Amino acid sequence: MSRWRNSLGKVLHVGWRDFRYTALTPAFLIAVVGVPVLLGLGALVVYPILLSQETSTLEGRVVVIEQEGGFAGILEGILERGIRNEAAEQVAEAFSRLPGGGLAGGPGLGFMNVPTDLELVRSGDPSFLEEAKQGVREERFLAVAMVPGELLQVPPGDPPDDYREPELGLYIANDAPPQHVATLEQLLREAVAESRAVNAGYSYDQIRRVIETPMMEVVRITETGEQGDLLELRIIIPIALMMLLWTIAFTSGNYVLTSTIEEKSNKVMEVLLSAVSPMQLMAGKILGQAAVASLMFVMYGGIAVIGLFTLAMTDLLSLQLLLLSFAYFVIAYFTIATLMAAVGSAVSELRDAQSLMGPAVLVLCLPLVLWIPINNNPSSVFAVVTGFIPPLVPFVMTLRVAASPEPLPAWQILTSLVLGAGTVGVMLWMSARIFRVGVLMQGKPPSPVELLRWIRYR
Amino acid sequence: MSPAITLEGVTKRYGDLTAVDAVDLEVPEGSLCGFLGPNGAGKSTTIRMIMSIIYPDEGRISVMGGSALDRKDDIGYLPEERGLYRKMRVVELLRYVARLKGIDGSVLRARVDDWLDRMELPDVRRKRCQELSKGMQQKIQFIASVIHEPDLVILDEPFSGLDPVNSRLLGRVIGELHGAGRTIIFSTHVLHQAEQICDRVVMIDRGRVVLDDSLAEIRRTFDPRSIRVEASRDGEELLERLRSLEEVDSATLHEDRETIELRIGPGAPGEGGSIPAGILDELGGEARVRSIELRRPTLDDVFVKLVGRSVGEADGAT
Repeated sequence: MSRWRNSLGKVLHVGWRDFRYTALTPAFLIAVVGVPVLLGLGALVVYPILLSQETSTLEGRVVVIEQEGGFAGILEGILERGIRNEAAEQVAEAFSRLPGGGLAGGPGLGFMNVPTDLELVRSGDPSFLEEAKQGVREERFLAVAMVPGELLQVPPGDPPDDYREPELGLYIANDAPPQHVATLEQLLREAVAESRAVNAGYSYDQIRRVIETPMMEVVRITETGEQGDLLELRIIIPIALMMLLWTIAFTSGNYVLTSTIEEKSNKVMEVLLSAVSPMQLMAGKILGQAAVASLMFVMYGGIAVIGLFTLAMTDLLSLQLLLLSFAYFVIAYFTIATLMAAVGSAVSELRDAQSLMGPAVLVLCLPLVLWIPINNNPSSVFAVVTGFIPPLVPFVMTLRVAASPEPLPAWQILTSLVLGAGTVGVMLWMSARIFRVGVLMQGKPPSPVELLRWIRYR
Repeated sequence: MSPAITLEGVTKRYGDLTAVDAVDLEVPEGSLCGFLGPNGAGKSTTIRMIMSIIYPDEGRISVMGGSALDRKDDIGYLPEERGLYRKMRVVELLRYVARLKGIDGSVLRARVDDWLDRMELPDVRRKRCQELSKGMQQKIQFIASVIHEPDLVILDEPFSGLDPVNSRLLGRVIGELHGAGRTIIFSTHVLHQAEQICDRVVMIDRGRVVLDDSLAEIRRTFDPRSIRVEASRDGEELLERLRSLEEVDSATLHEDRETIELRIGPGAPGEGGSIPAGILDELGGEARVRSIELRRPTLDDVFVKLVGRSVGEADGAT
């Protein structure tokens, strides 16, 4: 019992040192804590401010050349009553769908509104076009709109084969801001549509109201009641969760790799091995970085949960999802960390490690490629099968659990957990065998065949 | 006295190279034993196997009655390849290593301070290891290997890289540890260092033990029984008188005509490292003698005698 306690004590000492010299350093605090906090502040404070900033005023003289008359008058009317920005309306609507009206009623969308101060110059002479273009070059005019007469007539419902749709020509300076060009285009299109309605004898305002698509409220029926549909977030949360797992597991696994290589290159390894066994050293390092990984998981996961609480969107998360995510996170971390420990022990330089673990990393990157089909149909045969492939288990299953509208069958979850735990066990055994040989090796990195030989060493 | 370490038929191979070849060895408890031999002789490999850092291909090793793995906390080990956590502070490093060796609590702080004072490093506690000179780093490593006050101390080339002052300091501390009853093994290829502090010597060459005995016994066995006399003026006459003594087997005069080399006969009294009385009497009344030196065998002489080349030549060959 005392021997076991002594052994555990050594493992924990090694782990604490690794945790302390990874997590309690200025570099870690800046990179892992500071940067996300700054990004969060940026998203919550700076970005809305930037969004609410209006763009520069669209001002100047616009030449309208039309043969039939009436178009310029309608355009004038639109300018007087103000342009209707449909894109801005759609974004505002999307924000309004968020619970609580989004972030304080949604960010200001000033950046989508371009204030206008335009003066129209009318001409009925098509030959004035060239002179007007020269005026644009000389900055006397902002733009020239060439409006063919037939453009203002309602297009035929069944056009003949040789029918060529008339086009409105807009001539503008080369350095005009894109938003100014877009605003002018929208103004002119709106004026064309209204002109056609007037020429056909309809009320344009009435037509608009008739064809306007209604807002819609989608309600999901659950076993206990109803909940609002948040389609975009339902798509984002699974991939965000999987990416969180993947990123943290790889970041912490990388710390195991670099600290092992550092101890080898510093020649401190033999000193350590005079006090602890290779197995104790490896276990300590993996546990120390597990604490680092857990800290990151709790921190980032916590920020996400707090965010969902703030937005009153907690119905997107369930206790089962959180617990399973943590279980899969543990499997993901230990799978990658044991791999990194083995590779780190076998090489003396970081660049040698890259080539040695290249194929394994390639396999572990598969979930990043496969997330779309799995997310779209988390219960498909493809998703179920990939969820049982050992190195992919934690990532694919996290994706499936988060993306599935209905709870996954219990047998699938249990099987994946057993497979994941088994993978960790096998990886741990193989890594320990490689580690005890590799930590004292210097020089040329071993080939994969040599690694297999190390595993078989007595 | 029971052996602290026993090796029986221990062999270690690296591919075609046999680094350690069927070594049988016993290191008595409480001895200060030097593992001597040229670079590449197999000293470090033997030590690593004793520490269970690597394992022998054949043979059996017993350390304090068991495996070094079971007695890690009772063993202090200074590896040949020096290494420290460069960014760690000295005090943190020593505490970390001591904790791994089972030392904790209030003892730890006092032990760290005591050892830093003992190794004449009182001002480095808060310094990072990378800020220390190479010699200082080596002394910190030595402290790390003995801070838990182990029963068995194994030091692989402890003097390499140290200046004479620090070498003397380290030699003194090793002597103190030995005086306190610890068993100490250290390896070196600088034989005169071993000669100064060891009481037992194991000579290794090309993976084989060529000599394993106490220093006193080695001196007795390899005693050249020769005396060098330095005359203050022409030594011709003195040479003739010395030749006539029955204790003297042979006498030769060097080219400088002042130095006389006497070979003492095998049956002469005074065996065991003293000058025969008859010779002393003869020289005692001689006013023309500047110095008398009883020549003792150096370990290098012994090595040459055993393997036919000096350690320096062997180092050059590796």
